[in-house]
Amino acid sequence: MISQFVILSPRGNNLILRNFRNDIKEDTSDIIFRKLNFEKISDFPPVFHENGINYAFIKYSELIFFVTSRFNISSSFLFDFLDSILTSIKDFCGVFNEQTVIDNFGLIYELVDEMIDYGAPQLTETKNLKKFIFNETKLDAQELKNLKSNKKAKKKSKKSISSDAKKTPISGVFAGGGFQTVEEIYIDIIEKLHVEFSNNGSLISSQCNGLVMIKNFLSGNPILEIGLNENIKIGSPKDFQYFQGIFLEDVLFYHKCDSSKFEESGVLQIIPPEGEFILMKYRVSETSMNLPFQIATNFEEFGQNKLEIRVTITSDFEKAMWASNVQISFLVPEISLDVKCELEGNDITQTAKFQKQDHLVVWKLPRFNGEREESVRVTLTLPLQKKNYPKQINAFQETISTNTQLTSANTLQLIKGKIGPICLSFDFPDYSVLKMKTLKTTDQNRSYVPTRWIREFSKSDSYFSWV
Amino acid sequence: MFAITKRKGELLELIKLLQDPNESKRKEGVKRVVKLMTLGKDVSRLFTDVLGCMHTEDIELKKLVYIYLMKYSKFKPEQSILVVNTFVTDTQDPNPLIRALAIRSMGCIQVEEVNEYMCQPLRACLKDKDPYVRKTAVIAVVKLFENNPELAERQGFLQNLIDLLSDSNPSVVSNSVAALSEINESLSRPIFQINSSLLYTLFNAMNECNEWGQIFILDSLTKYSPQNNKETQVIIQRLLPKLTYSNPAIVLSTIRNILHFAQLLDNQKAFISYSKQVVPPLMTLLGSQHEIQFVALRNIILIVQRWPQLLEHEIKIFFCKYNDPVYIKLAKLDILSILVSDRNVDLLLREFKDYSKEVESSFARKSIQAIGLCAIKLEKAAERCVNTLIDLVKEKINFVQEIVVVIRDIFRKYPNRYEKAIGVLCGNLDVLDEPNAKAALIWMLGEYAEHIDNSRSEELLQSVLEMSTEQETNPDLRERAFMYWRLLTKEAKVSKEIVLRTKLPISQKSFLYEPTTLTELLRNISFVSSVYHKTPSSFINNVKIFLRKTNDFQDEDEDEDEDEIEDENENENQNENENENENQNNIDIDIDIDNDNDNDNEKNNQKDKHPQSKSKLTTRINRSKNKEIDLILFDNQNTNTNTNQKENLQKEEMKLDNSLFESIAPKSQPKQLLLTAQQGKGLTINGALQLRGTEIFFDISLTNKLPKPMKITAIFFNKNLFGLKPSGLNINSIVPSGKTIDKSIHCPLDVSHSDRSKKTLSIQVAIQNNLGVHYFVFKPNFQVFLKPNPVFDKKDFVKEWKKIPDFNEYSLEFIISEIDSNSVKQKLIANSFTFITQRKEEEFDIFYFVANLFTNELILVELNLDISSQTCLVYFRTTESLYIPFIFFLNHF
Repeated sequence: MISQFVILSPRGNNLILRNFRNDIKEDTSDIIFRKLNFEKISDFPPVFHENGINYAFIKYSELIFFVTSRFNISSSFLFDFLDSILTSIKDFCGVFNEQTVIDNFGLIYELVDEMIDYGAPQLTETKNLKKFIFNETKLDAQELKNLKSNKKAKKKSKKSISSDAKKTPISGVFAGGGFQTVEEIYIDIIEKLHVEFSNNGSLISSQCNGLVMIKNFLSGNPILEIGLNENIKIGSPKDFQYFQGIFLEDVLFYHKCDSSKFEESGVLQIIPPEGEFILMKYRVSETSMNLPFQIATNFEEFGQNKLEIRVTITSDFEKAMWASNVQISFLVPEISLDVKCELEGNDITQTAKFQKQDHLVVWKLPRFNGEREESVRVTLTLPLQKKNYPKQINAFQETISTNTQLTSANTLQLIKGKIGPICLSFDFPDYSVLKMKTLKTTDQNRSYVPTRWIREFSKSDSYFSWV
Repeated sequence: MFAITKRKGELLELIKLLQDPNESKRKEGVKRVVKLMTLGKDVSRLFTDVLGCMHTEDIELKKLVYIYLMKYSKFKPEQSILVVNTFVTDTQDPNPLIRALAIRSMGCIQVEEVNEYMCQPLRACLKDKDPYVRKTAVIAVVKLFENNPELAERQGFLQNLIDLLSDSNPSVVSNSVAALSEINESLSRPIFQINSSLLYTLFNAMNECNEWGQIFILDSLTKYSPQNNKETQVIIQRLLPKLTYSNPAIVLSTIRNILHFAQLLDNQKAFISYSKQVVPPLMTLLGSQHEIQFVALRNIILIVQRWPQLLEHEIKIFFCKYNDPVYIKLAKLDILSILVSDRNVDLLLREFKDYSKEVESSFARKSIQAIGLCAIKLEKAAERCVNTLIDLVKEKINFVQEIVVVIRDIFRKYPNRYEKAIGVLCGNLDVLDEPNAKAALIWMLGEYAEHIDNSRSEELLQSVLEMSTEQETNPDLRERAFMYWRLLTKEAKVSKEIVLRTKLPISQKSFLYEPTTLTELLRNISFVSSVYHKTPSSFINNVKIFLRKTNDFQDEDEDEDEDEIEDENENENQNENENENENQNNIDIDIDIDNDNDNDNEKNNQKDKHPQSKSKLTTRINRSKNKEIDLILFDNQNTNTNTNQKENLQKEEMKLDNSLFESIAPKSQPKQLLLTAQQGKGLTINGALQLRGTEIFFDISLTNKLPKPMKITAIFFNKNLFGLKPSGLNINSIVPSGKTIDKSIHCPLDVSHSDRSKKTLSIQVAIQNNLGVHYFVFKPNFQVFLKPNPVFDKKDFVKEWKKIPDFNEYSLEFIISEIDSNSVKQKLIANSFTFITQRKEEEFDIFYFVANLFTNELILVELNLDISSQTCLVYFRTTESLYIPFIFFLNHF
């Protein structure tokens, strides 16, 4: 049973505080704020207990959402609840930031009270909640302006528009804003790639986690029929040796989704709830994954104290496609006296820089086309070696061991050990394993064609190579 | 000055707004009040004005007023009663929204009279035709139950909930399940038990209700014990489809249930086939947001400890991503080190080696430890692990110190095998600055001194011993050095045998959970318990302790305050476990005593048995008054109270004297089972400490379960808190086969036998018979240590109170289940506390008590009781160690 729900500003003020059970005092915000800001632990675990009180928190756009409980409660439920409260607020308010929370605090209290009663979760779906919410959404002038300009922007570039661009509150609660309700639906297929290469370029592990997210602004109760890739198998490739299609290790569906025809024809049927929800989550099998980039690293020594690192990225996809916001970064040893970055080729949009305070080399490519190879050369100047052990220990050491002195053969090894993994991050529109083939909406009461925004998208989650 | 006037101005402005004839103005006002409330400002002064806005058709305004009312009603009980009528009228409104809102809010008003008025409308709402009203009313029953359990039971509401389990609306059903499972935990006789027919009702409801209702049903399902294998099969079959849901809480709860029920099948093959099916969804959860990943990973640690084969092929999914938060990386390392095997050790060693070079300290260190674990677990791979560690040292990574500690452990497991590492480590002496690492290296140098040429060990030893015997101030260390010195002068060979003898082996098991703990943790998959890896009883406690020096929060200096609090938290955590465990053990004994003493208090006893309804922690109430003034007040009151009060007081004391007399007379402690026949190899012991007059006796019944007679020779106590010790060691009794003999051993208190560092009353006992020595621990009842009726008057009390410095005052705060302050008082008196006096101040009933220990220590108690909020705040001062009153108090509530 949940005791409290709180939204905390970045400065530690309560924006929303609802005490459902009155069994915990209201100083929990201070405790969580202190933990997150003054404890020495980096990345504080999102669920913890102190003095018999359980805390679970998430962060969103600088705000901290948290719940407390005295019970041995399901922890995944706590996060699930926090997520769905966040989603509902986003659905009702359109945008979500500190100002919207302040402006709409009455509405949020109303929402929270419908979603939870004395610590027990109640309604979740936006459509059901709508009946019980009486506050109107308030947006300030700036947000309204943004909304309008967003609309224009959408018309310009239909391709790959994100559902995040849709910042309109769901229909019905926004009567005062002067917007007509538009029949539209957004479907995003987002895949996150985790790839780990060893220092010789061979693949150590790879994962691809995907999800299909829908933002639904259709009125009535239309039936949505979504056709995805037809040749899908769920399970391990080992079990279907002659199958040529796509293997998904596992798939999870939204609980009201009819997935009975999925394996046979790739079709899902659902009466979508209003607002945002995740239709399915899936894991692509390693054999069905495509790796868009390869990473190679070479070392060369110059003179007594210079080491050159050459990083080469090769793109392995069609020429006509491109990834955007590509960034390659890695740590260099703190002892480096000087770090020089040099780009090969003459693409002026690329930049390669050494960030001294973080000892980080950052190489940015706004656009990376298919079938290309790009390189950067980084030269490290290292201090000349000196044996600077204190006298006494030196003597002691010599008596004990014979091979601990540094020789130039293991210098490279030593320096390489201090160079961090080469990390690659990128966004890749229109690149995904799972594709959207068909989308049908049927409504018994009327016939209409809603506006549909479909986006397929891959991005790096953790894409790197050891050196 | 300015701030005050500004605030006053704001207040006036708000009052004006709230009293405005225009409703939208009033709404504006209430909104501002709720906003201030959210920010933590005290707006209780506007109570009447806000209440005035309650009569309205505007639902938005009504909701805002209710939010305010729920928070402040308990501070204004009299005025809160005034709104009962509005609530009752609202529950008959034609609009179901208004009806539900009224019953929902009414339940949140924690005023006794309101509860009484609530029953009638609640009954109507439970039968309302609108499901929204019914589902809200179901939760209102829980609210009523928490406030007044007897009332809820007497009015038959609990039965209503059971009936509603077969309601046509799934939300009503899932709320009923939630409500019943919560209420169940506070009842002595569970009213809600799933049986075969209810099982199918729940399964059907589960398919209809929302995700959260499903979670409740899944959670209560774990407690069901199926009647036969067939039923278990059916349950599992019904659960399997839930594994494909995208909701992580449903998936995890389902996984818990499938693993749990599949084990009951008692068919290894079936178990394997079912348990395999939970793997893919578990892995997919690892693609969710970090929070869910963390929960899943912590649960996986438990699953792989029990069934490593389940996930051994999925090892790559647990490789750390460079952008994983630290808490996720650490959890993954735990899993990897359990899954390591001869087949995958090379792959993993390479990963661990890379991780060890990371900048983040806790992660890099744990990776190094993981390499050490591989070596300890897999003998064949130990060589490779040591080489990896040596490579890391040569690469001069940041955490060489950790490597030293890890290598020490490897040396313990495989003595005399990897001495080559010592040389490399010695090359890095200059980086060692942590005590742990230094100690580890010194240990290795000592053990392997023979392998170090020219180590000049004799000189070194001489100087170390000289230094420790001549310059050291720590007596323990000095004594030890003397002992070694003498050993060495006698005979070097013998001393070598003593000092360098075989060490206890180390194994990977040392890092895993004990099977029974693991089983319990596995039954808690998806609950917070499984994330912390702590059993529920160790952190969900009946008495929530809030220990802190009174002075600290009177201190204005904030910085200092903060430091103090942190220190105390540490302290508290240390004590917490111990105290909680004690508490758990002691409940039963406590109840037995209560039964002996006051039969009419049965209700209280029942509540006592149930942790949830028992005391709960609240944080402190502000106690702004200076203690000194408080005492003066208390002095004055004794002389200045008007006659009426005085008479009352005297009457009260008269009554008390009676009860004192009654409660103390025949107080014999029931014997506990201390040693089972299995532990005692045929000897069973039941026993208890008894107080006779002013002497303590250990009464034991010794039963011989062996076919031959047994001779009991001696008994001994280890050092304990109060120095309890048998007056004679020898018993020398013969117990015939199958017979029981009773012994009463006089146990005086011996100061030299007491150990004040013990924070528990428990005593370790050794008993010897002809078969050997048996050990057991028993927890005596604290009452035996209290002088039955110390003569103590108010003057003495004030004198003693003042004698003890303010900073020796401690406070403890909790919520009590008693609803009348007299019964709290009686309880203390029944437990040998002497009542001094009492007074009333605002909403507090204040009592003063004293307890006098046989060790002549005093515990002085000031008990502040706010019966309306059931808060109890205790201040105590004691002439001795803080833990003593602490332990005593934990036994009371």
